[in-house]
Amino acid sequence: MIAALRPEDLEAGASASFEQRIEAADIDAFARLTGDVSPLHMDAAFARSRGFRDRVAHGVLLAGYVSRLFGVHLPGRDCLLQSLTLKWLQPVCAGDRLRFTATVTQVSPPARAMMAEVVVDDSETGVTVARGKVQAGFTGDTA
Amino acid sequence: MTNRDDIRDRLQTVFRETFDDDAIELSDAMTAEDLDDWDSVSHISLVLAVERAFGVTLNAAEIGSLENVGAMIALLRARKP
Repeated sequence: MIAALRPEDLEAGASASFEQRIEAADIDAFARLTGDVSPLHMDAAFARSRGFRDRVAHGVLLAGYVSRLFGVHLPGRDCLLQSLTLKWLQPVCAGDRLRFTATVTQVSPPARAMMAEVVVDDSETGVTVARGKVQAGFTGDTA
Repeated sequence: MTNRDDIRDRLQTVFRETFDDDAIELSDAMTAEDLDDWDSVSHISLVLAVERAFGVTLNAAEIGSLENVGAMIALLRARKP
């Protein structure tokens, strides 16, 4: 179900989150879609030779899940992403289960815009693997 | 320092932070045409940043009246006498 929150429905502190397990198949699909077939993402032996536990998920794959956070949950249907910054703090590998959380920090109904902070945590360890900020507008009526 | 000067200085800080450019020097006549990165998205960023920095909530009419920096300063002076 896709939310349909308008700026007037939101206030600072509103939040939404979901969990997502990163599968090897997801990394493969993202590589096929984008063409980023770096061995860091595709070759477990190569990744381990560089000090990682396993194949590393593309950082921008996580950004894709952030897009889902705003486009489906907060605010949902009427969301129009305007800017996104994301810092990848820890590598994410196939099999990791992540929790994506967005928290509204500012809303301006007259400007039809909102700001939010994003945190991506490893659900098992509690470690924050990514953190960022989003500015989003709203499609629909401009009254 | 006059109230206008204080507002200008604080607004200049907002501009510099929003556009990540410490070289920005505000003038009353400055508009979006004077800054390459002042596009529609960053304009919204600027409005939100002004609200946070000055502790004001702008209405739609006020946002629409922000033609240049001078208009911003005048608005903020009116809101923060």
